[in-house]
Amino acid sequence: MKKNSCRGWKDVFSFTLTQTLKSKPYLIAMAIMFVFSVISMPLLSLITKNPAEAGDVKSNITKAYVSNQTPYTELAVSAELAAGYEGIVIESLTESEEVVTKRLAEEEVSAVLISITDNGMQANIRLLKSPEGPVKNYELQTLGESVQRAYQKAKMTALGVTEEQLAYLSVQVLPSAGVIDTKAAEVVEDTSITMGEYWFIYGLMFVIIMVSILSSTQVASSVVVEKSFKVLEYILISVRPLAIIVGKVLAMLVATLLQMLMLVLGLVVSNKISVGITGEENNVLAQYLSPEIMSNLNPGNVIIGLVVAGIGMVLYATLAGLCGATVSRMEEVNECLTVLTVATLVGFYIGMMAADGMMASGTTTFSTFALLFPLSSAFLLPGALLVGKVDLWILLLSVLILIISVMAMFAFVAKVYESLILHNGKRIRMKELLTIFKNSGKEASAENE
Amino acid sequence: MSLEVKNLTKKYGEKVVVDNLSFSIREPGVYALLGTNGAGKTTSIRMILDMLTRDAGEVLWNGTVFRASEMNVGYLAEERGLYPKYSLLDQLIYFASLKKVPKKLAMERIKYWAGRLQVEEYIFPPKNAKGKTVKANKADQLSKGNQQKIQLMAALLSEPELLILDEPLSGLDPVNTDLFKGIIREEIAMNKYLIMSSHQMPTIEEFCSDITILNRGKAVLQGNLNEIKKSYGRVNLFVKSDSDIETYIEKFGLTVVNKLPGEYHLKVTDEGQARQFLASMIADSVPVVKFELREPSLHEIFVEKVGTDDEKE
Repeated sequence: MKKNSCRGWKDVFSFTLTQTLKSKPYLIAMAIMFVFSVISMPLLSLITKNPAEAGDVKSNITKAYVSNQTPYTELAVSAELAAGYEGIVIESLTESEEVVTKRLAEEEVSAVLISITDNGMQANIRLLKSPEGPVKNYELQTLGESVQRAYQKAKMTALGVTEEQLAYLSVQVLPSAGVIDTKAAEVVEDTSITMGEYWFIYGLMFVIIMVSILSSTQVASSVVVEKSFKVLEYILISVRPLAIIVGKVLAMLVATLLQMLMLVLGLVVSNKISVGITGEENNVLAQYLSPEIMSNLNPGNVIIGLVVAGIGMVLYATLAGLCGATVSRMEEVNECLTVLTVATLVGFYIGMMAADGMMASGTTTFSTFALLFPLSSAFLLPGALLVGKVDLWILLLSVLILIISVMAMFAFVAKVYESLILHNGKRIRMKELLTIFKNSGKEASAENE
Repeated sequence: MSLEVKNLTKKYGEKVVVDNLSFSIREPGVYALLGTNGAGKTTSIRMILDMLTRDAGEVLWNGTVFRASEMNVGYLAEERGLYPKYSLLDQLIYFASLKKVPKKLAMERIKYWAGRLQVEEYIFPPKNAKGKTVKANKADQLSKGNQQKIQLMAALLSEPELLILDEPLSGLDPVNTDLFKGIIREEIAMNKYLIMSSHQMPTIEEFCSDITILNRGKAVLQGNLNEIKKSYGRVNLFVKSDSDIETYIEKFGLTVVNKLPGEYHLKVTDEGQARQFLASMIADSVPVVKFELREPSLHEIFVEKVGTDDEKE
């Protein structure tokens, strides 16, 4: 790869980026993404909010008969319920359940019957409503959850457990397993990940694959547009093909990352709004992420994760540019992306299987391979890094392999792109691509002679 | 300054599309690359411009290796090449920036050429009745001729030393043809080096001093156009008469190339035969309205060279 092969990439980069940022589809997509991310958390809070805790829910339930067949006083249960459901008359059952059930079906259609049993091994809460009444199933379910919490609290209070003791008992217990290394006579640290960490890695992998596919597809489309509208001929008299692909890949990557940044910004705003609405101290993110992940979410790790994901995306986008150059018509874009799609899916599934393995057995040979293999490391490494399951040597080696892969891809592209870029006609297959690569090698040696 | 093209060769598989092409331009002016469709003109231009890899050969500019991306070269391709959905001004500034023309200077030149080529309204949209700027035009809203003007602007924005024009006048109406011709004349007057490919022989004759005729990738005729014509001699005779002159044509054994109402296009062996033919008619008091003896036109030379070769095939 000659140094001047890249000269002019900045002009290609700035033009491609400016035009992409100015394009209507991009702006509309970004606006939609931002709006959805802003409303997501308040919406989630409102949907998942307990109506009993909200206190402002207008329920169709007007009366609740409580049949408490447990050793614990129903007064406490009733009191807890009454606090959450103002306007609902809570009444202890003085008649038989059969009589009340019949009355609910025929007369008191907006009333419900709550029956609580506890045999010391298992407690049951049964709620009944009229089939014809205004009470909805979800209202019954929400009431059931409130009764469950109220019953638990009443049970604890009856046992003499204080609020502080209750909070102490509620502290999360995290199990940790270890294996004795017989040679070193030391306990080897458990490297497995929890279910929460697995879902965190999976979620992050999903975001990265989404960004990667978006930017790669745009790079391929952009190359095909320039080929099909013959603009390339005008650009090629000023810059080398490699400069075009480098400029385009980086521009599309920046454009997609800006969209993602807008998404993150939207989520931050959304979180603030959500906290404002619910008045809860903990933000939504903290509710879903474990304290371990939260502690690893420091700027250093986030930046390293972004860099790793970014290099990986450059690799995929360069492959997409190459794929785009193998065809000459817009309608062939999807066809040409087969290689890219296969490579992306292979990388993603290897990453997913490795994450599965990490949950079951900790760090294994396969997970190390997945963290080092450039197609999968771009997806897996950022998540694994943020849950604190990546050794420094793996991180450094993985980044090195990724950089070497990108350079190798650029070198390959530089050799075959000149032959491909003005190609018109049927799609160039992988076999032909390799032949072009071999021949270009021969040409280069001939030129040097 | 000089441009030397040496032994350019391009193969696609077993097919040789450009075979050992060599020519040189030692003085400013227009060099013509002629040939039928598929003769290898555009492939040769692309190889000269470094867009296509060469199987053999080299291009030198002042004795050193010519690299289009490192030089100030303007290019007007045969097919129009503009982004369909981007604003024309943005595209022109981009093409200028690729040639390292500063934005401010590029804007000045764009304004100048937009005026010259009468495309201001497309590049700098006017204001409407409410005083608001009308939405800028995009390439796919322009006619082919106007797109060609924008392309020519892009080629000229860097004030190139070498200008390569591939079929520059195809698809233009007579008014715009004259406009383009005027600009080409100005470039020649400024001592620029031009390579032009065209099917329009009169245009080539109008501008070009040296030519190469390509047929199936091979140069079948090369050299200075005037000298080529001289080498053919004055064997084309155009005769117009009010009387029937067929008996004289038969008597001298002349070949009739074309017969128009009252006029003959004849082929003579040399100028002496033509003079004898004229003397014979005058001696018999045949009224001769037109008697023109001239060299073959480029069109005739082209057809002869390429046509003969085709027939052999």
